[in-house]
Amino acid sequence: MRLITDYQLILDILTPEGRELGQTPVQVLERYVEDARFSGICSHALPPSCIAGAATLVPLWRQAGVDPSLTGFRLDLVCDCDGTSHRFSKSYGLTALQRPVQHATALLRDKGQLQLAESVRYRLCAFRTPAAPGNNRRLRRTSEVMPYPLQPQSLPPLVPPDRSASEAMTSAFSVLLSEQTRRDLEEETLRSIEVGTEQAGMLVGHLRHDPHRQQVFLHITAQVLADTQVERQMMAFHFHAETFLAARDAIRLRAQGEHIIGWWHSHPSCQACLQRQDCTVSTLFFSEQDCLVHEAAFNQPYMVAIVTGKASERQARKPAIQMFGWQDGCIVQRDYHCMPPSG
Amino acid sequence: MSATMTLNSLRGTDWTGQRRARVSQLTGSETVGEVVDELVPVMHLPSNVPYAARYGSTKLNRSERVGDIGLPDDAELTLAPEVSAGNG
Repeated sequence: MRLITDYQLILDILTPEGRELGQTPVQVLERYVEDARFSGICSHALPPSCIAGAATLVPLWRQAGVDPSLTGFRLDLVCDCDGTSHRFSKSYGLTALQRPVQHATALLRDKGQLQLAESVRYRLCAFRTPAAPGNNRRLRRTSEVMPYPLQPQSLPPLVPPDRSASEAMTSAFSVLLSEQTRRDLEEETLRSIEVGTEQAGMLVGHLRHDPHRQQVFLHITAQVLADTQVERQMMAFHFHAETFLAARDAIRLRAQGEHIIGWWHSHPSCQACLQRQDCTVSTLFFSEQDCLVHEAAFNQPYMVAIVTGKASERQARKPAIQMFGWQDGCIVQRDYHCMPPSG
Repeated sequence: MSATMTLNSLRGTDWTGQRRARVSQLTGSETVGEVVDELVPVMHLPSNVPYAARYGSTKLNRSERVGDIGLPDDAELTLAPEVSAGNG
């Protein structure tokens, strides 16, 4: 989707005292555009088939005409996909810029301009984009906006969400995890503890919308182990390009009409955790590397990630599940519903 | 196949099939890597990870010229990232 704007958004990274450490342009604005399109569909302001081609970015000034700093920005979308004109706007505050700030501070730390323990403040500014020079690109590039793979289906009755931590966010759409998938994940997690390496796989299922209740939901129907060219270690694993492509091919072979809707991996507990009944260690978290995987390979706003491992209040032999997903362009922990087998 | 085949454009899709783009006005002398590097930003994929390209079941070498590997015009390349995750 094309972003229409006269402005470039710049992040100023500052010391707590206000001294400027560095500046970086915000380069991932398309992520917010996708988030806005999906939010518009979830709120039924935009049709499920929406392929809005463009969004307009409007800076939200602290003091218009006086100060280049912003309290955030707004995206205005217009969609004529079904012959009717639909409009949707969504505003983003400074908290939605967590990832660009993390990237900018990581860069400053790499350059030695910021110590590991040092905290920072940040300021978002907008400046008029200088007049673009003539287009010297020899190659012509065009992007195609795809509709989300939404299919109509009635939302089944939901049991209360499984909140594995109190801070889990409630999102604009529900996620349903099939009981069989939950059991598979637990079994694979226990296996990963036995072999002492992380385990990983893809989550497959369907993105649905209930036309009567006007709700969007994601149904995770199965997991497909990532077996091809995965380098597993106790603390990490590496996905090669072939890992993703082989998993995609395996999903096609299932011939269930499923889509790739996310991924999962285990953070196995150590042997000491297994020995102690009263161990309060938790291995359930989403690391910086996990964020990079989610951004690179699972960047649609409905895609989720599951981390399995030891919860602080549970024994290591009873693995717990935490789910993460996109919200306002950020990766956050989110809630989900377990789905008992039908019939 | 022959390097003289007319190859004007190539399409790109990410491994999930949800992001698509096209590069046109090719001469055939561009390398696979150059085409991938053109597709990544226009598909709004993060530029801080490397991507491999595949045509059907064939893995493509980044240094090969697209005109030398027998790609039909408007062929679809699938891009997939190389990434690490974990507990670290």
